[in-house]
Amino acid sequence: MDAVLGRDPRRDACDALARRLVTPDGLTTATLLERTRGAASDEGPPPPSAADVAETIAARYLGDTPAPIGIWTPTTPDTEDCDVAFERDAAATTRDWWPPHERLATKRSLLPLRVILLGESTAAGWFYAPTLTPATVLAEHLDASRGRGIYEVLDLTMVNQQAGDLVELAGAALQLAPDVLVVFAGNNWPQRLPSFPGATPADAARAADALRAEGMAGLRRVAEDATRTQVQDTLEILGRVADAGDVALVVVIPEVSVDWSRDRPVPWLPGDGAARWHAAHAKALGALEIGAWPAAAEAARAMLALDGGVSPTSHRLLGDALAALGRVDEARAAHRDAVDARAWDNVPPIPSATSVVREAILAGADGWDYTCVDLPGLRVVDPGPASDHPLFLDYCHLATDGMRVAMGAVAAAVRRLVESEPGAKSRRPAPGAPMVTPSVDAAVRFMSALYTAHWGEPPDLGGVPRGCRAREWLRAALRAAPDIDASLRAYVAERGVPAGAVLSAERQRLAAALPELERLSTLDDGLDPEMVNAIRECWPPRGDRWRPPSRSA
Amino acid sequence: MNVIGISAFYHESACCLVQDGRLVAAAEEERFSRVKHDARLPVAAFSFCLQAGGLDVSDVDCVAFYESPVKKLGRQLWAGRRHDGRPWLDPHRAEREIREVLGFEGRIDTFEHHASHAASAFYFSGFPEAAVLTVDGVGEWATTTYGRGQDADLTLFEEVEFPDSLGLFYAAITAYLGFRVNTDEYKVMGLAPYGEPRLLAAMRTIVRDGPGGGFSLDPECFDFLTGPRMFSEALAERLGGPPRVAGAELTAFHHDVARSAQARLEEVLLDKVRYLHRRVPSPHLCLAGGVALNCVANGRLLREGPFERLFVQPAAGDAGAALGAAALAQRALTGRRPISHALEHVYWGPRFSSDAVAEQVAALELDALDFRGREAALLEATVDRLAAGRVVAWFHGAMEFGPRALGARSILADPRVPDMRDRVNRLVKHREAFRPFAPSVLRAHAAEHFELDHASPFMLQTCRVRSPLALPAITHVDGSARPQTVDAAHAPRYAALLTAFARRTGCPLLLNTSFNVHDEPIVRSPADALACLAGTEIDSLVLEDFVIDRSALPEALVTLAARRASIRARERAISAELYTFV
Repeated sequence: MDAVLGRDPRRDACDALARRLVTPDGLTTATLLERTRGAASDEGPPPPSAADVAETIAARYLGDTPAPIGIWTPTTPDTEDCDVAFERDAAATTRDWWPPHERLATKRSLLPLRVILLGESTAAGWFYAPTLTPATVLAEHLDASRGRGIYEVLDLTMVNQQAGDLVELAGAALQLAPDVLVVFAGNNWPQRLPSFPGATPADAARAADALRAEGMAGLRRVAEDATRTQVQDTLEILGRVADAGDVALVVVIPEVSVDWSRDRPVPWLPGDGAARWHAAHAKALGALEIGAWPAAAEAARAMLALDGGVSPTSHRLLGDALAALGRVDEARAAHRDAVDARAWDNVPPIPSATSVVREAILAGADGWDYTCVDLPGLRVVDPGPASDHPLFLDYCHLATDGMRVAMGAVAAAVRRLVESEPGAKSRRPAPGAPMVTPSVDAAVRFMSALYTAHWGEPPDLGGVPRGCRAREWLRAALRAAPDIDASLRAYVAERGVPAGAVLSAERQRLAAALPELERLSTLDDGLDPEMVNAIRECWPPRGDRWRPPSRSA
Repeated sequence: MNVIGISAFYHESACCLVQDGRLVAAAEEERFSRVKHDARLPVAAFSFCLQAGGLDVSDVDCVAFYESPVKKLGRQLWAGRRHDGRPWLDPHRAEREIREVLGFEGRIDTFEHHASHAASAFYFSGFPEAAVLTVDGVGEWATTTYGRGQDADLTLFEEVEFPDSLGLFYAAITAYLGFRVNTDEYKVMGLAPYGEPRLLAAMRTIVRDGPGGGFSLDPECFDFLTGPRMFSEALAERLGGPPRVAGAELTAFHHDVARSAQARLEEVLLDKVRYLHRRVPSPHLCLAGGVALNCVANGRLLREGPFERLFVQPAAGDAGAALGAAALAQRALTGRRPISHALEHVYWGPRFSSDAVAEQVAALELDALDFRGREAALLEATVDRLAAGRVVAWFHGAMEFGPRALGARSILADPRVPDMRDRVNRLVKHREAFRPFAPSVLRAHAAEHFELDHASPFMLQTCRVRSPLALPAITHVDGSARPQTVDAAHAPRYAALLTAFARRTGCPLLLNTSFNVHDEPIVRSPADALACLAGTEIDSLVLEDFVIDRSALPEALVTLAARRASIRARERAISAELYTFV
């Protein structure tokens, strides 16, 4: 290069430094310099405090100028019953927004009392929306208790919502003059193992230190510490924002399915640890298969001793063995430990409100002046997909009865807050009354079968008495509405079309029968033989059943 | 000798294959992943290149990477750590991913960013010797380089270093006008003819002249080194108006800003091109780097500059640098000039047989017209629709490489229809009204309709319209157009279509815009094309030898496509507010 115009000596120094940094020792040197603060801190300016964030949010939404509420943008009201109206943005994609409202408005009258529901996919009524949602169920509970016209429930839930979106939306919702904000969230709150790229160098350094000092359990601890901090900050922000808007706040701790599981191999263990873990795993599965429950429990405990409790598989197998031995409470605790162990890594993560999330929400209630609805504390047992009244569709999303139970508790809490009735209970809609039509039920059960299988729950859980969840959902779907069989057949046919024909005639037929199926982002992926086989097994066999010749002649 | 060229981790990752000195395949990753500006390692494009060359990964002799991670790290260290939490100290990323993800165990060569741009222009120009100019946002340190090419040799002898950058200047103006950085720079170019250069004096204080090949940006006016956006308050004060909020009405002030910025860019480029000619007194100029996509400036360089012939690499941005890296590797390995002839077309991407299309058509149970073995009838059917004023999507042959649709993945319409520009916008593109569409014209007839005396196959320069026909859909407000000249030797079916249209209507031109939904990558496959047809209001699709009219689409298909479009968020891989520095 003949001439490089305007070059200052510091640039040459940076080039020389760069050449050194790419040597084998170079990056280690750079990392150590950062760690010892020999170089400029890589943390950047400190993030704003929860108090600062809350103040910023409150200022943004409690001023004179209307601001968007999620996908609803301010517009001129066309009626006199409100000061400001918000219309749903027609161009906004609906992947994450399922609520039905085309229009929102501030209110001028005292009644109906306005309850705004915020939360994630569980609160959005995953798979049942828009036909049935926790918001509509909550409204039914409140109407059944107090009559129509006393309460209204607005649904501002958002699928895939993270804590940052939630606090912002809570602030924005203040523009609608709610009387109560109900936050039904926490499944998306667990922080995952710092993954590269994305984590800051400081995050990666903390994780590396923990791994060296404590093994895999250290990584889990780092993730859970970060979760605890994030949840505490989120609750503080929510509390402060609600206070700024003079709104009562209810925070609902989600319950999750302790029965849903996904096998995963243990993460790296030193020495021959992984081999020994897998040997113990095989032993545990074998013992469960033949009903040798004590041996299964012993093998599961050996797995836990090796992996330090970081693998959900170890906890689940212990819980299965204890349940078979009739030690119900211990089994439940082990299954709960499996839930906690499934939410901290990225392989991929299972949204679940873990014990860390629950404890933080419980602890924060007094300090931030919100009412806590502890759904796990209700200790309602999920009878599972084989029953007619399951509580869960998968790891955290609610079936109709799950919504009924959860929203009953929420309605009671809202009434206690608003009506100052300490003993207020909600009156449920007539128990056992179907909340959706059989065809909707069947469709949701079919989608749950697909979803849960695509998310990695094994189609066959081996010796575990529970059986295969996907198969159970398929059978439940056929029981609910036999004509769902056409959709099952359409699905199998669709899996066989040429690669890339995502708009095939089979897919069109399937989409016409089950439009909500398109929300399954994994649906475009290729052939899934387990699902196809599971569906096939639900069909009656072809031809007449063979019978042995009679011996009576 | 099989050489793979890769550009990645910045904008528009891409992969190409040069076999025994010949370009065999090239494609951008975004066309496969459907993520606009996909910057990740181009795994799918790599797989396509291997398939096109009939290769296994073990048959590849060398992978050429288009920039030097070490030099880039030097610039990143100088610029200081951006506190956005993104890891940046990873100069081994390219090699690591090429080995671990692609499974390549052989030789990896890296070449500097601007050297890759320069090679992508010179070695594909067909010129035995030439002056070479590369201009972009930034590579490692260089933002502008000056070079000379002679046979197999290519030497860069001068450069301008970051943060003095014409690309970053233009990106800052783009952001100031409320458009998206890294994407909408051409909107500024399209807006410019509506304004007056009354802010040129202010622009001259923002981009300052320098001796020789130099120039500099006034650092007070820019915030991209440490801040969250491209420009500072000082720039707004210098121009005399606040930055435009995205989506707000465009006023005369904004038109003038665009015009003045474009004028200043052209001034500087002309000055530097004249300087380059003094250093390299060749009749030929080769141009590459993202700023070379500014076809208005290119036209002015050719008309007013000292060079007689201009070659602009059609994929002048980072995707095209993959070609340059491969060419440099080929040169290093063999000592010979890698590609001796000029790049005459850009149809290097995947193609699909009519039988594959037939399979898709059957799977969707479409009521399609089958013209297999009957090309003349296919063309007449297409002309029927175009002449009736319909908007026709045209999918034929190998996909183009680079940002322009050139008759392989195009949307076509009759340019004579007065409201056709609005119609295409309304039905498909949803673009701003001020942006013109471009025409394709048969090479033999180009001079009758445009002030154009040479082939312009890549839509990379503007010229004045002088047609006896009224062509409102492709004529910009200042009477200019950005034509593609079509030659039967390289695009036989497309040329035959234009010929058939001319025979029917007397007009040898068609409006040609890229076949994609607004904000999505150009379609790659028949499935993409069918999804686009079903999800927009394009009237007809010519998919290889099949014609599918929108009116014949099953309602269930249209409903499904609309539902998918409404559910699926469009993914973007890069920032719209700030240039990519990490």
